Amino acid sequence: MTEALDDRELMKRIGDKEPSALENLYDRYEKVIYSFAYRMVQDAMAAEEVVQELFLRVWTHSERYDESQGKLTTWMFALTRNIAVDMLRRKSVRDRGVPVEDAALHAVADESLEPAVVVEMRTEGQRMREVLAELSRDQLQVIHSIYYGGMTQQEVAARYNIPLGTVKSRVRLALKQLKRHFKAQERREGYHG
Amino acid sequence: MDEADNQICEWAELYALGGLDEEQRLEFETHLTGCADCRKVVEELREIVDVLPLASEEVSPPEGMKERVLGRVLAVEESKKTSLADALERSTVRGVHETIVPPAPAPETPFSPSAVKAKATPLSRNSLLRGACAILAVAAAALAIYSVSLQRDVSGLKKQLALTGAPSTELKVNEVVQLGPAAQDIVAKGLATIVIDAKGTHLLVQAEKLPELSGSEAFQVWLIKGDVKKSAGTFLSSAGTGAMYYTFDPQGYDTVAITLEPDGQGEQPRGRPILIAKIAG
Repeated sequence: MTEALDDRELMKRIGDKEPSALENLYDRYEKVIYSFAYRMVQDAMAAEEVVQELFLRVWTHSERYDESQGKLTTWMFALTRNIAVDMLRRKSVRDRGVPVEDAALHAVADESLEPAVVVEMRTEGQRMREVLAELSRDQLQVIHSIYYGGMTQQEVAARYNIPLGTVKSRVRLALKQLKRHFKAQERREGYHG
Repeated sequence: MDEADNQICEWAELYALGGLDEEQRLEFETHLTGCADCRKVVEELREIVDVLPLASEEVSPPEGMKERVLGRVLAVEESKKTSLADALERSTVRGVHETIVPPAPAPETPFSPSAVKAKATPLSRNSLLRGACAILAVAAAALAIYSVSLQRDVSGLKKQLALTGAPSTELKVNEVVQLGPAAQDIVAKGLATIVIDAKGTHLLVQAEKLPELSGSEAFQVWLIKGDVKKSAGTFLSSAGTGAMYYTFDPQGYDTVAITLEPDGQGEQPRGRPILIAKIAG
């Protein structure tokens, strides 16, 4: 059954232009991709546009995915972020808001029907949220502004009126901490993925 | 390693997070090819950065997003493949009905198909070329979606392999009609494609140059037979274009219409008619 196909096989079939494979991939990643896009652009219609552009690129340029370069989700998330950043840049940078830290959005998930890969992503996401919560306010600010807000280091420096060197050191420290805490949590939870 | 290299090495974390501008990014990527230390740092950080998207709180996608997204993706792809001439020829071969902008009986209710037809103007006929392109896109999307539905039928999958493996042009589009503006001030245009197979009758609606939505407004598609108006679903537009896919029981519907509704919850039309066309049902 196609449900059990792994990402590599799905991409191969998408390369052969099998619409059912695209649909399968869509079903598998719709929620995470949409949630990520929404987090970045903060608007339901714009987020849908991002999702559409992503799947259009997956469908028309599946050959650009090189599995030796990493997981399919790595590629899809990078594309999603690029599309969302382009969208944010079309708006004035000055008008651009920094995505809010996730408040209680309407998260409704029917977990009973989800494939293992989605359940695993949810667990990883939860773990990352917990680790992010341990960062200092300043560190969180640079992570949010750059990663989810699509800002460059110069834009962050200008917006928050801090020296470029400070942006750089905060990013470095934040990522170092994220890495350490994330790994530590993985070990605590006995994660073997 | 000289001082300049050392400075660039300090961009490793910013690069991994996506905080360099275009010029810096290219510079750093050039540097990466010759700096094993930076490659290692970036590689290690990628594991962490890869998880950041998953930290976004889950948000439920809007209703009908899947149909809209897949409909558009498959339509765009297919439309690239075929020329306008092919489109016209294929439409003829498939027994496409002519564009219908019917004559005008007396207006009745705010959403009487006959009432909106009465207001149809030459605006609805001045876009044959674009329309032909759109016909192809819609027909192709219908075919692609039809193909999806075939492939979904797991039990019959093997038997159907030969069919689904065949070029999608072999599939039959039963009817394509051009949707005309429902009022003089509307510049929107669209197409409704009907495909009938063993699983039922499928309707694919695609429209462009739609009015902008605000608040909770949504476009809603209606199948109409006399006074009976059945909702075929709602869709949102993106840059003025939108699409929707719907499977229904043929009950002699004679009209398909799109309205702009205050929200996507209505069971009967409340808003303004935007596009309309007669169908053979």
